[in-house]
Amino acid sequence: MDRTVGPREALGAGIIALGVLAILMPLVADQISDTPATVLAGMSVLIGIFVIIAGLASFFVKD
Amino acid sequence: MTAASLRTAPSSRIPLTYVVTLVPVAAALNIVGGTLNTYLKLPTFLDMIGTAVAAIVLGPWWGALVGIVGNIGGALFTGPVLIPFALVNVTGALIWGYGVRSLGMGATVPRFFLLNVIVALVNSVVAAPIVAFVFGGATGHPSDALTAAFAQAGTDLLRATFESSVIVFLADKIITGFVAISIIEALPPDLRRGLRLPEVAGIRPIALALLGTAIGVVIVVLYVLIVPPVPPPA
Repeated sequence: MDRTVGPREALGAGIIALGVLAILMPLVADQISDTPATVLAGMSVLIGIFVIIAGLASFFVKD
Repeated sequence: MTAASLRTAPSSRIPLTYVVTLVPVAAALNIVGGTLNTYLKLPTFLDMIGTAVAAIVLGPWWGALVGIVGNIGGALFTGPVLIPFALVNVTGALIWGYGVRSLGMGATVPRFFLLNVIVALVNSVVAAPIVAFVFGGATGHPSDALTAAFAQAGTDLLRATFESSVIVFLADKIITGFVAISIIEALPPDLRRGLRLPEVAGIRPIALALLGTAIGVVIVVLYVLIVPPVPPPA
């Protein structure tokens, strides 16, 4: 029988992807806009919101 | 079962092989759709079809993973401008995934249509500040002309960006959602076991995709006819 994955692993993968995005943003911010500080500030807020949503989801996720 | 049939709730655990196979394929579908859209200069995006497929078939957070991987991968082809919009993809994945799998919003065509409208509205809320504050209202997308038209009419930049995003996203997400459903219907039965998807008697999945595409095209044509052509700001 194949190994199975559930919502808990999915949530983990989503959080890892958000982390990768957070790491990547400082590396490309100066290529995206003339004002990288604005890009980073805005993206930090947005990524933070999604991490909070993921944290809340972790309370409710069931396998 | 009558016109719209409901199936049992989706199972929570999925074989790892499905995930390892479907996530990269869905991300590639996003990249291909987005790149084609860029080259054809369509007033849509078409970069979330894979996200919708993964979110509905595998689950919302797998869809979020596909969205981020797809946008980062797409950035290799079209430049880093795509990377901030990964969060728009994540939003769509969460709404499509939870909407269909937890709230039963995919059970009938009208409910699924409503779900796509909700995705478009929430995506506009997330995308508008990114376009307005990060890119100054212009990303090089054909919708910049619409934003410029609203801005010239006296609307402030954030509101103009939001209004143009709503129109473009409405067309894009309706097309995306219904094309995703037709792709899901074509997947092996094991992958869609337990999913509650729109299944109208006598209508094949491809007809659903055509219906969604037709509605999206009508929205695009309406906005092209209504809004006077304005060149995007330099």
